Amino acid sequence: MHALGLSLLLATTFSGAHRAPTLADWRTPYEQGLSLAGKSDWAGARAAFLIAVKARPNDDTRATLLPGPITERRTWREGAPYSANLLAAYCGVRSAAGLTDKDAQTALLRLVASELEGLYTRKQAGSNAAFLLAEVYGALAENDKRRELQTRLVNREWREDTAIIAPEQIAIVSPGNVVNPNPTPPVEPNPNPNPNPNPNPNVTPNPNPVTPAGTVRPLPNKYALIIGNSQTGVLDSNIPFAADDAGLIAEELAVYGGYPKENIVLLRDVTSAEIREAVKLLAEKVPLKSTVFFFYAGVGTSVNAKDYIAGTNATSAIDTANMVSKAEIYDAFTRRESMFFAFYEVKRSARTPSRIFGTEDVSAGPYAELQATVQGGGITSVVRNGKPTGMFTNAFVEVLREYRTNQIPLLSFAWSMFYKGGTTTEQTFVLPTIVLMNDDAKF
Amino acid sequence: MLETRTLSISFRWVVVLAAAGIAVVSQAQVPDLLSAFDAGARSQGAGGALNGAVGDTFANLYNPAGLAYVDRTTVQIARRNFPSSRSSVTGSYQSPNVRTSPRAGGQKISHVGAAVPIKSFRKRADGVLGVSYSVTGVMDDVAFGPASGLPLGGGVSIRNFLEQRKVQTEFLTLGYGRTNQAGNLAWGFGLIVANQSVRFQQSGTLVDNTGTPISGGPAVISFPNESYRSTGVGLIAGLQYQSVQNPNLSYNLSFRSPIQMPGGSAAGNYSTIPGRIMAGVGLRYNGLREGKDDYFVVGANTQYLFGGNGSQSFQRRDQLGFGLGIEYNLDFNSARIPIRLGYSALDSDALGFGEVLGVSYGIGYTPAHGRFSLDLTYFRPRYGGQDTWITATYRF
Repeated sequence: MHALGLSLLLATTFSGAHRAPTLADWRTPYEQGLSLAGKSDWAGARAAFLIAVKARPNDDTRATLLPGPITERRTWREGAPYSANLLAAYCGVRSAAGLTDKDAQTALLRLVASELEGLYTRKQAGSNAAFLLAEVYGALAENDKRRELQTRLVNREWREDTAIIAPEQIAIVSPGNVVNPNPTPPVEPNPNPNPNPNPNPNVTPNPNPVTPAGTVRPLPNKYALIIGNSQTGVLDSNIPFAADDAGLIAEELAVYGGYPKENIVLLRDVTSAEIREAVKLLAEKVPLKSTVFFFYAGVGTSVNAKDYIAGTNATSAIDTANMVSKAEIYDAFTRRESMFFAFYEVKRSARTPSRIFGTEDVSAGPYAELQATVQGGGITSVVRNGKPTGMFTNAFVEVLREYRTNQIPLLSFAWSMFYKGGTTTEQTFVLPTIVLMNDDAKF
Repeated sequence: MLETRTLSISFRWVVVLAAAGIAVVSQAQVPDLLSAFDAGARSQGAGGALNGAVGDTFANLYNPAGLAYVDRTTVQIARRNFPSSRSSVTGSYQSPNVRTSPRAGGQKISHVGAAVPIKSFRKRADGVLGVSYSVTGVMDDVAFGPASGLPLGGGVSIRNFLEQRKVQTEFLTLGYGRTNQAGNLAWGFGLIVANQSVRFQQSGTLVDNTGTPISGGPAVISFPNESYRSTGVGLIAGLQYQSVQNPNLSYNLSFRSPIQMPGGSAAGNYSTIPGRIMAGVGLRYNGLREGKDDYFVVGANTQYLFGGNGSQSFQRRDQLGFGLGIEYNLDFNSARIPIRLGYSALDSDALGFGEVLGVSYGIGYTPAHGRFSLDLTYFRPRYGGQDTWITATYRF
């Protein structure tokens, strides 16, 4: 009897008849889709994702467990969510951008829109699906639907596979570029996604789990100076991913933070002289009473109680000849009566406490300053889209995507970053220092 | 190789009794690790309940289907104590009273293994090869007679009586495992080359009732003094199965053939290492701590050892065993810390051997990158003593 049972088990396992879809049925085409998308073969990638959808129809925010020893929990692609529908739609949008036949383009975008609406119906839409659908409606000039979409709730907790998604590239398909000659209808900024920032660290702030979809409207009075120096002569303090982090911050601010692209100055691996020059030029350009966002990833030090950031030509942590003082930068912008918001991804683990960056209180104001870690802390990285990314930068980007507004409340934002993953054994996020500003100042 | 040492005594009937003495001493309750000595599998901390469900080089020992789930070249080494026992013999040679006390024994390497996915050296080839050296059977018992002499009868005693029984069985296994296309059914098989060293010795001085050694006479007795090595070949095969819809439930089944081991005399051979059927089930629960990647595994396992054969000194009878255990995998800053607790039991009806049962504890550590693991196991058997294992794993 037992032998019969075992035989049946083996027979049904090996048999192809009436079998449930297996891992290989969707995994292989899904991974092929990722590979093809990496080669910009958007039509091929979409076809592959659609094959995956046939075998496994529903997107899933959870990690997919793989067969394996029961004692080892193995997950597909390190716990990535399954987003075949979303990625098929995304590839459809990218594919549509390359079509010259307007009718075919419109037909494809309509199909993509219906697929994304299906995700909404099945409650499998996260912020990327919402963002993409808003852009597709825009491209189809279906502005009523787009406005209606913005009234729907988006499940911010729904994880999506963003391995191939580049939101700034979605925007390329936006109306005016391809299909729709009408300008993008402005998306109303979320004036305060967390109206009650909670100072209690034991209580998760930001109780509102929803966010409106769509591109954030850039505000002309917002400027950003973003610097990432991966390589300096201060060898043991370098952050190898600093330049990449700066690039990521610049991209994301343009899409999710309401900073006009033309107002963003991005410097990567630059000397102290180049930093000074950029500060000078931007300060001259910035109108009075503007908002200035400053981000620096790289080496910082303190010499004689003054903070300095290092150019690539800096040679040691105590020689400030090739560094730029923090006060100099703050002064350049606060003289313009700007609201100055500074973010630093700098190691603060100097052997000598007096060398720790970020201890100087600059006499200028108003300004706010947020360090990536506590005094004595280091800078750690996570893997984002296959690349090492600063934990601070990653949290910044993740929270920025959630807030999706051109009026970002600083303190609430910092709390959200903290809860996003601001603690490891080496790095612990902190709250900002705020000088001559209200706690609810927005950047 | 058989060695003999001869003593001459005056009484012809002693010849008969000398052979019987082997059986007399074997009434000692030596913990029966002769056929089921654990070489250091990590799941031993969970009572061995998950032995058949593992996916590492120990799969070669318990269930080669587990090799199929080795996704990176993996090497493992285990070190543990090799238990021994000391027995004291009183009464008489014909009707002895034997008391046995277990000892932890020295720490030695008990397992070295490697598992290599074939695709790592041959693209598009499926399956995983495993090779391992493991110690799978151990016995080390020394029995002492009283200093005054162990009465033999007829006014003759054996002074300084000593009997040593020592066996070590080692398996050199070459295994192969792979999965079906869906990945939910794994199967594997292995070829076992078993090496065995056996020592069986008795010694003593025959004395008369005045304490004078007996050095001659019409009868001659040969105390067995043999030491030999032998080699045999066996097979092992197994399955692991999980439903596609529920990878959190796993079944395993394995079979190992009895292994013939030539050599040895009628008094001191261990001629067949028993075969084994092992079956088990494991159930995993995920998401036990919000925001953490903890999971919990509970397992049960049973094994049946059959077909073993040995002389009266190494008597083999069928044995039934089971293990129950749990493993809580704690996510600690992305490092994994498995904490194990289990209970295992293996009966023994063989003359002179006692059951092995008790509670086991284990803890491990795997850093976030997952490259290496370290596992510690502690087993406290009911008969006393304590066993400890340490197992190191490195994944390339």
